This record gives sequence, structure tokens and C-alpha cells, in this order.
Amino acid sequence: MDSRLRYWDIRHVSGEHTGIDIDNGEIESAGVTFFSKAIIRALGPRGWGIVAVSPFDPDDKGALRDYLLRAEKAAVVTAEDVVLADAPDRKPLPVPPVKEDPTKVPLEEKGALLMQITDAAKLPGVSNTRGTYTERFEAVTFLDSTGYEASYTTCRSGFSVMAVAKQNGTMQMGYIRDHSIDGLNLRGRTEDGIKAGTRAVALLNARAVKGGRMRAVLDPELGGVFAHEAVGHASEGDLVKDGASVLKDQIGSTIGSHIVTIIDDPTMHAFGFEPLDAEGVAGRRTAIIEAGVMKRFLHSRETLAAVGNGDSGHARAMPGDLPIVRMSNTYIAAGDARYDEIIEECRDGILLGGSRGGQVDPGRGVFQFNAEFGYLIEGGELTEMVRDVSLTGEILSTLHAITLCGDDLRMHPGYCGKGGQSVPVSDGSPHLLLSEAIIGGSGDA
Amino acid sequence: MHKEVISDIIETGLKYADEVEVALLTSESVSIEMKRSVPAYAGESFGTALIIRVIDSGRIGSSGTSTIADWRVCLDSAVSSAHLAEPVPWGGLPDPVSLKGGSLSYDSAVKTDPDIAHTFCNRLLEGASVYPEAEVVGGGAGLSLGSVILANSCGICYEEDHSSVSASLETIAGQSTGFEYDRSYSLDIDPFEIGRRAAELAQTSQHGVPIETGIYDLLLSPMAFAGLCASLLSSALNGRSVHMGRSFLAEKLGEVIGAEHLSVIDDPFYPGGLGSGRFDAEGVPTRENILIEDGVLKSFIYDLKTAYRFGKESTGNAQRGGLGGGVTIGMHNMVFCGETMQEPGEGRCISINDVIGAHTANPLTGDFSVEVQNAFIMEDGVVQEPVRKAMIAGNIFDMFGQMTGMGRTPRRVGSVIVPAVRIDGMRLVG
Repeated sequence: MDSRLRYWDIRHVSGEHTGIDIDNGEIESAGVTFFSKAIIRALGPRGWGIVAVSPFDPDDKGALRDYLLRAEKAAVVTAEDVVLADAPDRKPLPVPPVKEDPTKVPLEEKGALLMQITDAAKLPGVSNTRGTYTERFEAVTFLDSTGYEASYTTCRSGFSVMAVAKQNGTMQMGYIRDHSIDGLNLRGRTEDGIKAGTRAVALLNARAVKGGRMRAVLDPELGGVFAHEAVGHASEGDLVKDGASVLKDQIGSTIGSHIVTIIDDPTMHAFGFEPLDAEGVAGRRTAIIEAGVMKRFLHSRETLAAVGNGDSGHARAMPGDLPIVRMSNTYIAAGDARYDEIIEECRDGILLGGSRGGQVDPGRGVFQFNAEFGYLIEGGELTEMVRDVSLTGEILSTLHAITLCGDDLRMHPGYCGKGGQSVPVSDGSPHLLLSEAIIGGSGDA
Repeated sequence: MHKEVISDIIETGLKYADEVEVALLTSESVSIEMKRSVPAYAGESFGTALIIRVIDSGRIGSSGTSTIADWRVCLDSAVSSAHLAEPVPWGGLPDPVSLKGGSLSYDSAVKTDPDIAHTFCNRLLEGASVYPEAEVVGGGAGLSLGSVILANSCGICYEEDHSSVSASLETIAGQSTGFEYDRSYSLDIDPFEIGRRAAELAQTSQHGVPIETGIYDLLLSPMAFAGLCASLLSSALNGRSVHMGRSFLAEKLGEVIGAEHLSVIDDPFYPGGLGSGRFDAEGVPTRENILIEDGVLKSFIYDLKTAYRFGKESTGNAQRGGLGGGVTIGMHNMVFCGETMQEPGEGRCISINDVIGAHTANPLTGDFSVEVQNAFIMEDGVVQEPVRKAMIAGNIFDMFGQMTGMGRTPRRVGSVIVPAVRIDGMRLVG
């Protein structure tokens, strides 16, 4: 369109978001919103000019020309010399077959199914239940200045159920969630409601731990959060490029025990799957750490060209937002230890389970995450239940503390926030034994 | 033109429902984002959103769309949504009243001008250069303008404009990081000071010393305090959580829940507050709500639906952003006041600028354990050595009782307004 633009692309996402909110057995709200958003990126002589628009009308060719002119003008103040690496894989990966298309199921029926799950959480001792359902149907079209064009649709859906239990003035909650990319996941899930209710009641009698350094076992959900927070973020090419990651000079170094292999795989048919990343590049499985050795970074085309050592296809974006380097499906590969063996080997310590989220400062190399529940391990056996336990550590030393990796890898879906954008991901791990962990808790004994 | 569409929507909507409410939001912005110290992205954005709510026999339905021309689809969707919702004893949308004054969080001097953003970026870098050991990792500046038209079938048609100016900078010195930002509705932010502070934090946090696990007195910066406490306290004061049995404070109205000098007010008229506004998302005129006064829990906050349902009055705290275009309950400007100390860092304490993992606190009970960020040992208000690593553990509601006093100068952290807070006797894991 204009010779001064070295490159441009446009990513247009239109679709519908559906939400159902059930509070204490009543449908509080249930509705659908519609959107059509686009982001236009144009590479001027130096850096990027960006235009984000909502709504975007793909049939209005005049508007696109106008946006490109605006982006070109905006780019004038940029001074970074942006170079894009070649993108060899541009054929969208096949979207996993959908078992039951959520968009074809009436809202009333989805509401009734969610009601069954939340009702199941109402066990004796439970004073409040809440359930939410979210569904995001998105039609994505990508077009760039090389004439490349691709489009696909995805539908992600899932639910969460929460139970609050009360006893003698104390309150605790149990929370279960599951999200899917391959179809409606609301049928036959009342067990999840029961699980949330059971956990809330059980936590009433759990005590807060006194923090300190101890041996710890992480369950697969929390082990996944550990992989995500402690390693995943710091291996993102944009942070490496800007000098904001402690992993920046670590390619080829041993940064963990030899049993640790950590992978990010956007091609895996889990919640973080993308047929094509937000720059129109097909994702690729990237082994970040292999047998304790730092191997590869996650990249966009731009960070690959600037940093090297890794794969593009990891740029992701919310509809109408700028692509940034993100994880997709991140996991610690399975080892060969059995669960019983891990608990026995721990002898005295703590088992942490379920995730209330985490955060990392990749530049400082310090991360934190919180468990939903835990059990003390005494003499190689699980004993008392504990609550409100968290774990912190330093990226460059903690991975050496993994002394056993279980054979029971499981993935857990969720959302990850970075740069004000939230994208669907999954994290996973087998059970892990850490020979020393810094555990935080608000208890006195 | 927008107002015509809005009248059409209300007129058509009344064929299907008792009441109709339409919100039309428009926004535009410019921003420049630096990678290291170089402008790498410069952009602008334009957005429109239409949100329709209908109420029929106490059933509330909602929908939203970014394409105004598609309002009929949106209206149909809102009507179907209402069919599904459980009815509440609804007492009607508000009637129009005369609102005094103009938009509260709007400054007509704010323009979406990239040159201003560019100047701010340069000032950020100049500020950072005061501490040469700190390298700039990234940052940027942005300006945005927005407007809301809210109309309903009772005759309300209110308009309000918003403006926003923000700048932030991220720095690193060795493995020590620093971050600072500010956001205002006017051009009164000081990008030089933001840059200087971000670099100071990174440079002075280097060579941290280990500390012993034990009980310490803490001085939490406004950022650390707001990060830990604000969203949790706000949801515990949310009328819906209270009446549904999901709030720690549910049965504590009239009880002492904090230090006797602590007061917390939701003030929609706070000068310079980012959450200031004359009416809420349902068109209810806003008002000052005293939530905690002299340590005693005074009131909760409500939207119309929750108020009608539980025999209360809306406190003007409906906010947009619920699932499927619905409203939720939220604060405007949450202002914390307490006894101001001559020197909040008196004696020996640990000064904490920020925390990692604030959002992982138990949303129900307030129990938390988080990692400190840019923490320093402090003697009589003077910063000594940086702390390498430590976790604070405790309970947010207990912490309100352990507040010894506050600094003199409140700071705006998003829509929270709070000075530094001194909290004695907290546990740190070193």
C-alpha cells in the first residue's frame, strides 16, 4: 500500500461471549455480548505504528486504508530497529474436533446444567454456592502485507463452582473450575460440585501453618503453576530481549536438577491451544529446559530475530490487542516416581494442592504462588489438613531442589495475565518433591 | 445521531419489557510504549460499546455489542437474557434528577496527542538517569478520552466525560527491579519523578541482606497496602457478598473491625479521584458512603437489584463489567484515613514498597502470604539496607486492627487513596 511501510498485518476477531452466573441456586444473570475488534500493526522505517479499533468492519476497504495511514503516521516517533524473523510455518493447525458444540446448546439448558453442578455443592455445612459459566466463540481472520491470509474459529467454554462453608464464626471456601476447547463440559459434572462443597467443609477444620523452610510436595495443578511462574514467564523472549529476565544469559547452562524438563506446547490440544498465533505463525512445541539445561526461549517473530535460541509462534493477544510473547500449554514432563514413593521420600514436610494463582518478577528472579489447601507430611504419611499456604523461591536455585518427578502428569486450564491482557492457558506437572521450599502461612505453630 | 439510536432502542425495547436502559460508551486513546529506553510502539485506539439492559416483571436481562448498528440483535439478546433470570422484587429504574456541575474526572486540557506522550516518555528517561546504575527495561505514556451516555425509559439521559493520563517505567539494576507509575484525569502527573523513583528503587534495592524469620513492624507503601487490602475489603463490603453469606464482614455492622483511628470512605467526589462520577452505571446519583468510621463498620455498598432484594437503598455503587453486559457492585474512590504520625517510620521497621502475589490472598477470610518487593530496613524514617527476600504472612482484617498510624500524604493508587500505613507486629519469613 505504501512503500514506506516495511510490513503490515491485521488481526480481526469477531464473536460472542456468553456468561451465566448462579448465586445460591438462582440464576443471577445470563447473557451474551457481541464484538468485532481489530488490531492493525504497521512497521515503519524503525518501529511499529498501531491502530486498535472496535467495532471493525472487514468489508470497509476504505477504512483499512485509513487505519494503515494512521498507523504509518503514528510509527514516525518510534526509534527501535525492529526486524522480523522469517515465519516458515503459516498453515493453521487443525482445531481439535468438538464433541458437543456449546454454541448449539440453548442458554436455558446450559443454565440448568450449571445449576445441577452448583446444587451438588450444597452439602451439610455449606452456606452459599456460586457457579459461573463462560463461553467465548471467536472467529479470527489474519491478513498481512505479503498477501498471506488465514482464518479459523475457536470456541472455549468452561465453568467454576464455589462453595462457602461456615461454622462457629469461621468461613472457608472450596473452588473447582474446568475449561475446555473441545466442547461443552457441563454434562455429568456434579461430582465437581460435591468436590467444592467437601473441600469447603474440610477446610473449616484445617489450620494455618507457620511458615519456614521445609520439604514440600506439589500436586500436578500447583506443579503446573510452578512451571508457569518460575520458568515460563522468565523464558518469554520479550523479557529476555529487554533485559528483564534472569534467564537471559542462561542458554546451555544447567539451571535445574537433571530430572527437570519443561515444555511449552501450543500444538497440544489443551486449553492454551492456538491454531495460529497472533502474528499468523503456527505454534511449535518448545522445550525450554531439557534435563536441567536451559535450551530455548518462547518468541514472537520480532524477539526471535533479536534474541535467537527458540521458536516463534508464541505471540498471543486478546481480541483487538497487541500480540505479545505468551505461554500456551506449559508443563513439567513426567518422571518415573510413583506418588506413594514421593510422599514417603518427603518424610517430614508439606503437600500443597490446588492453585489460587501466582506471580513472578522475572527480572529479580523471584516468584510466589498460593495453594488452596495442603496436608502436613509426617513420617512419610499425610496427616493434618492445612490452609492458606504459599510458596516463594528464586528461579535460579529452586529448580535444583526438585528431587523427584512423578509419573502422573496432568494439565489444568486457566487464564494468565500479562501486559493487561488475559489469555487462556493450561499448566501441568506430575507430583514433585522439592528438597527445600520457602513456605508462607499465617499460623503461629 | 447517537441520541436518536438510543431513543429508538428504548422505544422498541418497551414493546418487550417494562423498562429499558441504554449505555453508550465511546473512547479514544494514544500511547507510546518503550522497549528499554527506545519508543518501539506508537499507537491509537478507537472504541464504541453499546450496553442494553431490560427489566420485565423483575427479571433483568442484558447484552452488549461493539457495533451500534446491530442494536436490534443486542436488544433481542437482552430480552432473552431477561427470560432466564430469576425475578427480584424490582422497584424501578431511577427517575431523572438534576445533577450538579460537570464531569468530575475530566480535564478538557487532555488531548489524545502523541507529542504529549512522547514528551512524557523523554521525561521518564531523564528522571531515571538520576540513578545511573539502573537500566530502563520498558515503560511508556498514554492519554485517553472517553464518554458515557446513560439513558433509560424513565427519562434519564445523563452524559459524562472522562480523561486519563498515565505513565510508567520499569527498571533493573543487576537482579534488582524497580517499577513506578501514576495515572490521573488531568495532566498533573510528574513523569520525571516516576522515572526517578523507578530507577531509585532498582538501584537502592541491590545487594539485599537476608533477614531472620520473626515478628516485625512494617511500613507499607500506598502501593503495597492498596494491592493487599483494597480489592479484598471492597468485596467484603459488597452488599451482594454480604447478603449471600460470602463476606467476612457480613454480621459485623456496628462492630469494631479496625484500629480506632481508621476510617474508610467511598467518595465519588474526591478531587482528582479516577473513580469520580455524579451517577453510577444504573443512573443512581452517587453519594459519599462512610464504610468504616473510627474503626467501626458503618455500611455496605449496593446496586439497585441487591438493594431492592434485601430491603436496602442503592448507594450508587453499580458498575459496568458484569457477565453478559450486566452490572456489578464496586467502589468509586476508596479513601483510607487514619491518625497521621509525625514519623510513620519511627524506631526500627521494614519499609515495603510492593508485594508479589497480592491477588492470591484468600478472598473470603483475608489470609495471605506474599513476597515483598523493594523492601528496606528503616530506622527512624531513614532507609537502611535493602532486604533480599522475605514473605509477609497474616490476615488482612487482623491487619486493620494492627494499624498504628499513617503517613501524612495520601497517594492515588488506581481508585484507592491512601498514605503509607504503619502496621506493627507482622510475621516475616526470611
